Amino acid sequence: MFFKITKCMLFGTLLMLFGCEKSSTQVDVTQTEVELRALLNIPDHFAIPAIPEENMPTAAKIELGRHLFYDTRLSFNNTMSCESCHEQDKAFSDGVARPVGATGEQLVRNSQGLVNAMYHASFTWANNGFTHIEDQLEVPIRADNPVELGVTEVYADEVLARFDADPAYVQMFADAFPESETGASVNKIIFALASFVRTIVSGDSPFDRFLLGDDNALTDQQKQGFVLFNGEKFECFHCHTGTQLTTSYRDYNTDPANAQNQFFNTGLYNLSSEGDYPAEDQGLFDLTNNPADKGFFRPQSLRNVAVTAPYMHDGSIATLREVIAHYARGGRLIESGPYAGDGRLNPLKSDLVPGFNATDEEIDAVIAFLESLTDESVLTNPALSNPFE
Amino acid sequence: MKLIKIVSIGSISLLSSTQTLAHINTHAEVDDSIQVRGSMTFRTDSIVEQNEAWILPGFLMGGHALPSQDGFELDEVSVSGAKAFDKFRVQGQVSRHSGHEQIDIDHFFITVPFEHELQLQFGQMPGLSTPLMQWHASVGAVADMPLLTSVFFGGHTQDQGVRLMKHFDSNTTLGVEVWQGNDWPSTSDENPVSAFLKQSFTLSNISFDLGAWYMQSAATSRMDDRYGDDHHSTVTPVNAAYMFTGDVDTGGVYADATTVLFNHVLSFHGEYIMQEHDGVLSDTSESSSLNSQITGYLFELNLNNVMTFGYELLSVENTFGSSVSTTFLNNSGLYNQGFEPERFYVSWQKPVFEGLDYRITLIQETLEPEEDELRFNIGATWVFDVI
Repeated sequence: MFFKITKCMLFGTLLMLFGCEKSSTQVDVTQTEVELRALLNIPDHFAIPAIPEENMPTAAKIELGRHLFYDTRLSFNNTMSCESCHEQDKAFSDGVARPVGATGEQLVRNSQGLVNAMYHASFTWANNGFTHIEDQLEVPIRADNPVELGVTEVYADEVLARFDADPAYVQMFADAFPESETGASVNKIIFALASFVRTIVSGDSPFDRFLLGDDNALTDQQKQGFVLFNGEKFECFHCHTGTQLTTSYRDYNTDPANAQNQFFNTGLYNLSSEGDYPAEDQGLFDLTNNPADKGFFRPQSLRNVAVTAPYMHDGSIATLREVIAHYARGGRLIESGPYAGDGRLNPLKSDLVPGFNATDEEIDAVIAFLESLTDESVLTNPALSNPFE
Repeated sequence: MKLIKIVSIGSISLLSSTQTLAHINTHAEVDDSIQVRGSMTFRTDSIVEQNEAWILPGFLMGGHALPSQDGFELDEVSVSGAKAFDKFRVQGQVSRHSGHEQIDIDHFFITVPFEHELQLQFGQMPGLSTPLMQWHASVGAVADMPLLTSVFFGGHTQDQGVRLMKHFDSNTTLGVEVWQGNDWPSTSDENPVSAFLKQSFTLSNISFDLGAWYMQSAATSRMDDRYGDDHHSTVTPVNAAYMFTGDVDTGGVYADATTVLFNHVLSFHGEYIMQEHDGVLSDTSESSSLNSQITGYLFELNLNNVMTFGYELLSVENTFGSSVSTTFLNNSGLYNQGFEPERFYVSWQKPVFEGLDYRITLIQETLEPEEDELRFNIGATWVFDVI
């Protein structure tokens, strides 16, 4: 009481003279943000993603995209859809090391999960030029080496005619692109698919609930794993940071010039003194032709990682435990066969993969934490499911 | 009568120079000197626990703004000196502060006087915009760093720079400073610029010192590195990975008034500072525009250079840009709805013998929402002139 009275007597008058503002923290929320959060179901603890102005999402585009995603008519021979390699119950991955395309040819890379893909700084496993989902979609739709859906120049008109001949699709294309009087086009398909993929949002895992203040959302073992994950022993966080658990991150506020479009060589292979990876896929090097980029791949988001096995860019590691063993060793040792070599000695390997000694208990804890990243709701969300079933 | 009045005011000025917030002597007429100064304090409580980072909710913090700890602490030991030469003089000070392992060069600068009461100073110098920039535990009324010094200047300034001052008469000083930018709130090579105007006058039997100042600075990828390297490296603030890039403008006014009332010397110091951070805040993945406007008040009332009542208050208005996540916002440490850190203190300081004072302080502060703390300090300060 003494303090309060004295304080008021001595300084109250002066404070009144100067004026005194109450502290506050506010966010300048725009109407666009409010609408995007509602439309894409983006939780408040995620930022708004970067979306190209020419393809702002609408409910009609999303609905069209959802149908196209699950429709095998989007492959040149009516055999495959996007879902063939991106299954909802596997967080939109496919559970195989390397899938096959519509011709039966095996692809060289593992299918990435599509959950929260809208936050990637770049797309595919190693392409620093693909900065939006729209860029990436060109590959599965149009590519001819290897063929995925095979909608090449030769087959494009035939595929588009299927949609123009279906009254339901005619209506959906018209609703999604009301300013256009022409029918289906590959670009419209890409825009609609990108809009649908942006609704594949995972933000309700136990880890999310823990982030939001529910201390009981994680078990003690998972909390121990979280600490190890973010510690300098395991060093996972250097490449798997932030709400999306990857340094390959971009949102609406990210200055494109400063986007962390990072790629790393993790010592998965070492086929020569120059750090070669298997010739069929040398990562970023295949794009840049810069020898220093051999074996450089994008760090994948770890959200729902427990249901997206097998792992790495070529699906060559079957379990999370083996992935951790690879990093604990500081690179993978392949003792025989065409890929024999000690990845730990790869001269291009990242300094962030030095190796470490971990106990079984610690590894169990980190795996338990990774399992806490599974969001059951996104695996079963009806809005993301096959509309033809 | 007139003589008595002049003597009184002269005495008051002398007294006020050693109490509360001290002012560094920047006039050319300084004598050759070597001075040893220090402060040691026993505190009943810490501001935060040893293994915790000190964050005032809502405020960007950094520099050397470390919290005081409980128990005995050697706050500061410093040796300062001045030497006059024919056409210039040299002033310097080395010290060891609590929280630092090594001895720091607080300042080492050269003053070159010119005609027309112009002075050029260059080297490592304390800022002269406000006495809060020159705060030391041994010369303040309290051994604890003022909240305003912590928040606005990250502890204290010891940057390299150049200062040009003009004394228009014995009562008016105008100064302009250009700095390297090594000190909070700036980052290296941003070259902050500051300007200040000081005016002294006497009205009736009250002597006044008024000041107004402004500093324009900027920061690039500035982090809160208080707990890195040579500090308490086991402590990691929750917002350790956050970086601020943008403009930082700071300005303030202050007033000192001293008088004699019923044979008691009464002095007052009041200060108002406002700082605006305008730029981008980012962490390892997310970012947002940020406008942070911080306001601070400090008032001290001193009786007979013995008893001091002080009060500090801080408030902040943070505005983040659109599209930011609540995760990013909460982890930034900048979320603050209605909380205003404040500190009230009563200090008693008297000489044991010449050069050695004991100092007792009672502090009531609110540095966390709804957490009032009452602390008690007892300690000693010493100032000895070697020559």
